[in-house]
Amino acid sequence: MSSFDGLFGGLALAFALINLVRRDWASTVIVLALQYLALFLLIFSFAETSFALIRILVGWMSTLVIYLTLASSGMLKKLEWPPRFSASQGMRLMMGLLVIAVIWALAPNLGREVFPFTPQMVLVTSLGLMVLGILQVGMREEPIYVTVALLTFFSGLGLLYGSIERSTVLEGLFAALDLSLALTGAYLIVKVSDVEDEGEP
Amino acid sequence: MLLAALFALLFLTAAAIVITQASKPNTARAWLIAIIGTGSALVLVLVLRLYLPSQFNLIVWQPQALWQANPFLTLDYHSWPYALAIITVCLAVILTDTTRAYTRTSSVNWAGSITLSAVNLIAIMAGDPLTLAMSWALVDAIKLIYLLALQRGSEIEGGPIQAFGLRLASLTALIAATSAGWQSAPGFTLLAIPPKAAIYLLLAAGLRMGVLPLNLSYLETPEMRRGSSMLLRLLPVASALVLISRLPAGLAELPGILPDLLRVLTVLAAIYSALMWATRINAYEARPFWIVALASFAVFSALNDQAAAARAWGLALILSGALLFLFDPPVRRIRFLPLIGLIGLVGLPYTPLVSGWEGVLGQGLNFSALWMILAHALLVLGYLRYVFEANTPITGIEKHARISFPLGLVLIIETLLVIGLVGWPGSFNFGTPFPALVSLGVVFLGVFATLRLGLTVPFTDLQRRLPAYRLARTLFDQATYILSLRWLRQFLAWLFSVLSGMGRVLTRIVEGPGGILWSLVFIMLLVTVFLTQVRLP
Amino acid sequence: MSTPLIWIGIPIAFGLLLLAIPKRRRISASVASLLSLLLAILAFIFPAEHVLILGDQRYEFATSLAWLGRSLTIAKANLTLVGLLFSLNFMWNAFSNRFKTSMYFNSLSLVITALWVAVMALDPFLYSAVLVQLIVMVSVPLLSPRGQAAGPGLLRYLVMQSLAVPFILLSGWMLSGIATAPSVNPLIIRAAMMIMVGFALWLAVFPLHTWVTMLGQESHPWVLSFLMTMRQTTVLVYLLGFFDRYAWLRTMPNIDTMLQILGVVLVALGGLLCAFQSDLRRVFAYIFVAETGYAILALGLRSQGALPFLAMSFVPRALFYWLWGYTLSVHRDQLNQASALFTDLQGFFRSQAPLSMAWVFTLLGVSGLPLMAYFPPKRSLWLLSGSLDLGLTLGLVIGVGGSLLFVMRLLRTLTKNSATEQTPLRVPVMVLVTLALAGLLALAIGFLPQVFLNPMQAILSPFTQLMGLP
Repeated sequence: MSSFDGLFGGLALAFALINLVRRDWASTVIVLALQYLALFLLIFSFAETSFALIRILVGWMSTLVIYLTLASSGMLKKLEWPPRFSASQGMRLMMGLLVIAVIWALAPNLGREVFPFTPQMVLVTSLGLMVLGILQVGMREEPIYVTVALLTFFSGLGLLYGSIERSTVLEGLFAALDLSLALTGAYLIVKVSDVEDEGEP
Repeated sequence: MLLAALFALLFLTAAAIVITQASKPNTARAWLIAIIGTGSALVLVLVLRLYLPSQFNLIVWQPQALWQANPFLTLDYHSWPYALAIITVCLAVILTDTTRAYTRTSSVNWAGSITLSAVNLIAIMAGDPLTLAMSWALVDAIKLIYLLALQRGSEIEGGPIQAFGLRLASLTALIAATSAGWQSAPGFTLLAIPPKAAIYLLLAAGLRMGVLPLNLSYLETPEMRRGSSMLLRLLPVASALVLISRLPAGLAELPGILPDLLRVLTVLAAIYSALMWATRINAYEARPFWIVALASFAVFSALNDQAAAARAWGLALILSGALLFLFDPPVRRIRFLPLIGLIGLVGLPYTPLVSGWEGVLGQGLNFSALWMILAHALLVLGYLRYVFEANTPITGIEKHARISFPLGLVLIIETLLVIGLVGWPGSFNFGTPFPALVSLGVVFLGVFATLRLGLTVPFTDLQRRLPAYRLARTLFDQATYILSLRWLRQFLAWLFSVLSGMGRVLTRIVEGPGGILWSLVFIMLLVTVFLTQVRLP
Repeated sequence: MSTPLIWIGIPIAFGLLLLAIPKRRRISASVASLLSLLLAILAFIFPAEHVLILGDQRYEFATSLAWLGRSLTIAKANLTLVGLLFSLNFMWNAFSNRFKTSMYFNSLSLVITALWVAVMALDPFLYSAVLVQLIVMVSVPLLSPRGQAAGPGLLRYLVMQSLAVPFILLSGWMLSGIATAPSVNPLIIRAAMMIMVGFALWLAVFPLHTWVTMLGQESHPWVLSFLMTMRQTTVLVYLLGFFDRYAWLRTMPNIDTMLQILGVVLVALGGLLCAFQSDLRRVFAYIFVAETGYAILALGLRSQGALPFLAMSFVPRALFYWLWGYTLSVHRDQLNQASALFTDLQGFFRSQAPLSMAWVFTLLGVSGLPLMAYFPPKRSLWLLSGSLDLGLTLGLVIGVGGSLLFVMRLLRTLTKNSATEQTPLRVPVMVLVTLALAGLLALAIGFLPQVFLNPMQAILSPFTQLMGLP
């Protein structure tokens, strides 16, 4: 573990927080890619390189699938700059921060009793990602946000499980899961605009 | 083996009618096949009286240790009189059918009547709860399909469905009874019912007959008046009556107010139905009340720990009832025949019903027994009234029908006598004549009052002749409204709509946009409940 | 050659091949049906020694297949379940091209069935949680075909199933060192709780069932009934695996009582909630909840010998689910009726009596009406629970009463005199024949359970600890 753990973990959480708050497809995809980068750096600090590489490769491939889907269906819009903040965004931000604070407070106890082999920052980051993912799916029902939220959720779960047990089969299954989730998300995003087979499902 | 032969005979007769009619229709031949088949079955049932008790094992579910099911049929002193009654009524239906114009469906109806009788015979001979449940389900399904088939052409709303619902409730009660019985006697049979199961079985039978709680399901429709339709109405009650007669003693000692409550409900059902029976426009409209009223007597006997006495009331329900309802057309010249049927209803010494009075007076002559005697008097009055209203001259009836029609009625009277003589050990006895005499006294008073007031059948001028008619009518209407439990049904419907509305609101919440968050809350709740409820040792 | 290759590899390969010809519905349906039937028959007749002798040739099959350092194992003891799963796949594929389901139904159903087999075959078995999630992903195109917007039910399905993964995965890990029963400690209670929540999410246990009701309204009934039948069957057997492997779980204090109460509560709630419904498409969810309740009750009554009835329930339950899916699909696709709301079904009996009666028959059958297929196992469960505690019987009576009340309401609606004139609707003769055959089969099973249901007890043979087998 290096002293940068906190920074990488914090970055990953911050990106997940941005995705919880923002409602902008372009920024969502970019931030998701950045979130995987931060996770890669965090995993790199406590696991083998191959393990970390698999994660970022699969994560970025998933992000790419979503990006290409959005781009090809013309759903991506130019980033709005400077971003405007609404009251609901502020509310979501507060909620996200509160959740992270609670996890931060509970982590030492949880680590001691349940996950003794997991570094604390990894535990906070993984649980944070999972809970932020759940919060996001609880608040939004558009396919893209649900997909990104579930990717966030599973990246948190993968991080947590990776810290306690490393198995090639499980890594393979998680990779398959991430990719299939991205493909499913892409399918859900494009299917309405897809008129090629309309009437013949 | 004889039991198997009986069922084979009945099913083969029905099949023979259907097959011969399908190949070369001939109504006379079909009628003859029906008469020969059912007549032979009647003889066979009479022969079976010599071999009581008889038992016949149905398909056993193997392995026995796993399924704990050994379905079997039994013919004993409880079921034999009903078996005889059912076959008799079936034969009488076919004999009396000659007064009606034959149609293409007549032969199908006869085949249906025979099949229905055979299926009901299975139900009354059921030796264990499993066989009873399966036969009840079969009878109910047949009845529902028949009624729905009728409904396709006409407009009966709700009634058959409500009746079917009650029968399903009765099946549920039967299964609950089996569960309860298994607590003390796993794998028990209906020949030795454990006391724990008795109350549930009584409820099952009561629901099936419309007594507990009082329910008249639906009134008669023109299609259901005669022939096989009447069987459809009358026969399913028989298996419930057999069940009641098998109940063990101990119902009167149930804890709390339950026995009294049940007794009050039964007396109310009896009084209400007897009152309605005596005051309907005609016998067809009154038929459901006849069934409920006499079934109430059977239930009342069981509540007095005299379940065996229920048998006599049940037989009166079927035989005297069938005699009156098959008296159609009500030919004036032979109305003495249904009048003879009164021997099965009054309960004088050495008649089948005399042992029924033991059931009514099981707990002594108390207040509720007095009400039951009054209800009985109303039943007799109604019976007399419908017989005396018969005024059709004997014209337009075919020659052979002039023999077969009364023959059908005589057959029922004969069966009444046979059952009175050899129905079960002790069926031919002096018994307790007192309640029958009291009831007859009330009947005479009623007849006297009628004559005194100058009322004549069909009582169309009551408004003019009866003093305070309007007040009496209002009181009567109010009482019937209360006793019919319509208000209870309305209340339940209201409650259902309120709960339904609440359910819709909840559904909107949990299936709405915030539904996932609600699910998370539920998960947290589950976790909390689990962690707090599981105690460490 | 190995058994996992036969029952996992081959169907997945065929499924992927069929993906290439999605528009050839007839071919893909035939191939999927035939392959499923063959695999089912092979599973049922496969010799115990895993050796097939054809003429002079002797073929020996390995029961394990190494995969990324772990293994997939299908032994003879697992083959009854495998056979059942492929039989179910056959039942749904054989009639699939009559309905307007996704064009990928045949191919993906093969993949899904193979994945469910893999769920049972994967060692370490906890990793199967991720496989179950993969099945969820694969089923999305079936539940929401192209050209239709993804409904909220589908998204909720995705989310709720995703939530289950960590519960199952982490629960096992928590106690991976404690296979046998140690003294009860908080760690065990926590792990048991996580398993319960995980399975509650997988099996749509009330109040986490909303995704099934919502999917019922959004998705094709044929697809939904298929997916839910496969899910319920396999997940329940998977749950038995937990109890078999972890002595700490099955010896937890009060676990049986808790399971009994949970089971009965689910049966009661399923029935009660069913009673208030006014849309046939939503009802499946509540039947599903109640059926899960019966399975959990059977697990709770395992000391009383109820587990064989759990195994024997799979066949009648699947038959009635199939009938439900079939009748609703005929209503939707062959009679072109978009709505199954009560308001639109008034007087439907006069237009289509056979279909109306089939609905009633199915609902009564799944409620456990005597004479029907489900009665023998349900009767045994009712009696076993009643002989233990009449309170349980009361709960069961409420559940059965609720579902029967719904049947009454449905019957009333179907036979009501509607304001508009009912025009007779015709269904193909084949539909009537199919309904009649299914009905006869249901009655035959109900009358002869020893012939049709007894063999299903073999599903339990891998669970030697749970069954107390040598």
